[in-house]
Amino acid sequence: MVSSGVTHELDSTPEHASTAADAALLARLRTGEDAAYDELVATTGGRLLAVARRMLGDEQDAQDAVQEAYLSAFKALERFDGRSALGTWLHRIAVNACLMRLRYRRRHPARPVEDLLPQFLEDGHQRVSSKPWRPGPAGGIQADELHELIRRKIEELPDQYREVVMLRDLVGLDTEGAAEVLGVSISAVKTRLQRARQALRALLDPYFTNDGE
Amino acid sequence: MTMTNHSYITCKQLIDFILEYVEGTLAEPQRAEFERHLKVCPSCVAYLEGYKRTIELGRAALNARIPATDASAEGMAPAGLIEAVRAARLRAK
Repeated sequence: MVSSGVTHELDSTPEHASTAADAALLARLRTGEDAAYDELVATTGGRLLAVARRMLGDEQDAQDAVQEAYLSAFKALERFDGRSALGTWLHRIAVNACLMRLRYRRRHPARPVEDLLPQFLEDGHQRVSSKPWRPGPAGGIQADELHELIRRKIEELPDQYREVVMLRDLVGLDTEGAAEVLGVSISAVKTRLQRARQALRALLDPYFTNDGE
Repeated sequence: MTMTNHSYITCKQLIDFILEYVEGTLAEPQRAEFERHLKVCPSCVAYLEGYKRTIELGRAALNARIPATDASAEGMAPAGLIEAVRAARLRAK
């Protein structure tokens, strides 16, 4: 069974069940049959829209990203090698289209990740001791405000770190799936995820320790 | 991680492997050394708990924004999308 790299509940289609149907649809698509293109969009568009809405948080952006994804996929149909299901391949193209939109519309400037990583003395101790976090943030902010704060902090991460957090924690891809979408090695995904989480912890630390008061 | 029988790993070594530890993929004996360090280092205990909370909070924040309409959207695509993609494809020909 080919791994789709997707662990999220959205990807519930059994790979083996889709392969024969995919091959038949692919053959029709490659002949330029209009009905085949409509059928592809009809059967996969709901899922792609759901992913785009989650990633972009804006209905128009999501629709535009999904349209772009389909147009990119149509141009690449001749190169599709069938190693994954059509739906999985489209999912990856759509996720990439959303990541490109997020890069383009970055609302908050990125902070250099090196400024946010833990620092150590020569003997390996932390330069500044970590403090325990309170159960909730300072100021008693509401859940919606907290979520908005955290999303803003995620947006402060440089693109390559923000993207791996989104792919893992929002889209639900595993390390292998994220590596395929980003076109990097599994090792690179792990390094980026490690740094992203450390950096995000540093950004949130003032809100959960006495330093935030 | 380089380990000896008599010395603890450093805070840097622990934090370098924190992702694997939290994901449950840190093999023995590294895992044992990791937990041995936690027993003597309150700073790393605090760092680890904050790291785990960061993951939970990040997931909750990112997923809090999912539109309520998505339950139906995972089925067939809306007719408007099919038409829009068809029109865009024909324009691009």
